[in-house]
Amino acid sequence: MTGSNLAQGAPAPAAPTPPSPRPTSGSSRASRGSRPARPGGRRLRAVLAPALAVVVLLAVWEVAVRVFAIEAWMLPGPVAIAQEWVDQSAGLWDDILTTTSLTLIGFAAGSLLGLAIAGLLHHVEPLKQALYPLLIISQNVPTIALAPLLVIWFGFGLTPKLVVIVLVTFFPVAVAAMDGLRGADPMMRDYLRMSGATRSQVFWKLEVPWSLPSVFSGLKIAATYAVMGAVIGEWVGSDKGIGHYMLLQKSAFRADRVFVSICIIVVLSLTLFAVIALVERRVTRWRIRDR
Amino acid sequence: MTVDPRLTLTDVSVSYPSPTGPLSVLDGVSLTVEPGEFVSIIGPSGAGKSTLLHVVGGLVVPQTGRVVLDDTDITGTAGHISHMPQQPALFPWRTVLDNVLLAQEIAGERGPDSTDQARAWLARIGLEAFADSLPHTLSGGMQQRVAFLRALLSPRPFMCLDEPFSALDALTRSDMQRWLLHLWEETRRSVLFITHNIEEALLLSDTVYVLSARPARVIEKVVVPFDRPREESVVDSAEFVRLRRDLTSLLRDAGAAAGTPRPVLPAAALPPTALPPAAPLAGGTPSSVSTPLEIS
Repeated sequence: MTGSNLAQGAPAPAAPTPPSPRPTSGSSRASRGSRPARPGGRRLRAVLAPALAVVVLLAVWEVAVRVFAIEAWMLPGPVAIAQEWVDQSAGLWDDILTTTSLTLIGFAAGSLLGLAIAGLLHHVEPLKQALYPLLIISQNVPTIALAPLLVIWFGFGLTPKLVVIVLVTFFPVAVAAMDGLRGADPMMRDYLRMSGATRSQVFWKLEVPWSLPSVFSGLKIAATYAVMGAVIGEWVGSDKGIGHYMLLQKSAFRADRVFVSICIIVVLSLTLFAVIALVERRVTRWRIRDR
Repeated sequence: MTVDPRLTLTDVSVSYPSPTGPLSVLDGVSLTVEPGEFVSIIGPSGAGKSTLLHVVGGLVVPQTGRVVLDDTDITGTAGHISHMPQQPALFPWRTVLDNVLLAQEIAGERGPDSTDQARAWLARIGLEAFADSLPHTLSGGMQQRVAFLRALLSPRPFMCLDEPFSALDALTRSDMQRWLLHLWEETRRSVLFITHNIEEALLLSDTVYVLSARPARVIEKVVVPFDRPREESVVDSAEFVRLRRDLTSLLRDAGAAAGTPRPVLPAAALPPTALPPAAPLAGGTPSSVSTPLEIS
């Protein structure tokens, strides 16, 4: 896991997210535009090409480890890691469950907070002007530095870990939702206003549906942040979970088991990402085909 | 259906603040739409036609003047008219049926028989098969029909149409003009129609108001003399050609004044009483009549 990135409070998502770490309506539109227009050959290639790249990378890694006889406590090969994963998996379910439920609760709380903040600031322009810079500053506070403080304030229970996750997830959701709400088509807005729509009718009938694609971009980014937030929380103060397991194995110089926990984190991230993408396709079906 | 309303604009003036002082957009515009009358407003591009519509729709409050619908002063208040915008502005996540019923929904008047009524109307305009489709599956012309139906089924009987066909290709546009002509003659609603297409205005309207370039004044009011129901062949009549030619040169002069570098010259130095003599070279032979004429 890229610890240095985490320490800077700008975690690099483990799952494939848009290149920009902050969801803007511009980047989400670009990512929609680049979706293959036709299924079939191009979609197959879109899956095969990265899969092939991963296989090649793993092969080079394995060969390098064997050729240069690198010691396993330093850098184990992929085969050894896979072997260790299989051996360890039976005893890891408890930790996985702990981290997963922590992630899900934190993600839900952070996303709801993000949506609530977006809805509030969207309606109260002066509040938005006052608080927006504070929101950005909150994202520049390194999470890893904040976590010990949270433990001091909230103890070793669930609360400090949830706070970490909420802090890293609410922001992408809030920004994406605000962008989406603000970006609603002006002609449709004029149509509604001329037809006598109230502020709340404009919000629910136009702005909210319009913002959904943007909100989902934010949710996908927040989901990958949530997993990392959970792991950081577990590093700082926990007696179970994948983050805790990772720290134990690091102290024991079991590089292979550290890699196993990294793999589990990646799988968790990707799964959450995929579930959200699936919901997105169902909810914004009107958006899937280019208009 | 209720009795169609009369709309009266009296001496409406609008100006916007700008770095060089207030920019006058509408300058004392007065006009009337009688009950069941189809009134068009034509003017050069940028003349303030859309601003005029926003005044009627209540989105822009004029500095002076009043907008009166029947006996109610609606100046600066929204929700009294039904509206068909330049782009269809259909809501992409709503089915065609739900789009058609949107205006009723906003007014809180979507009743149990609304759906049946909307389906019957969709059948009447040949779109019953699309009632449950999303708008993006429809062509541009079909989307405009849905947008028109949404305005027609609005609980507000007075209709404002804002250059509804300007984004369509020439052929579709011509089809839609004829479609609207027939549908309107069946329903006879009070309509305020904004356009910059002279032929469209003459074909559809009972009365045409000509606006000058900015700041817009009414420089001419033309009562269109053709009978109802109107035959499409009316565009080939000598009277139509003459009117078209006169309006063309009138608009060309207004547009040329707008093209001068500074608005020193009053755009409408023309008396609002009589049409000026048509330019000798303007207009054309009757064979060119079917070509859509646009002033831009």
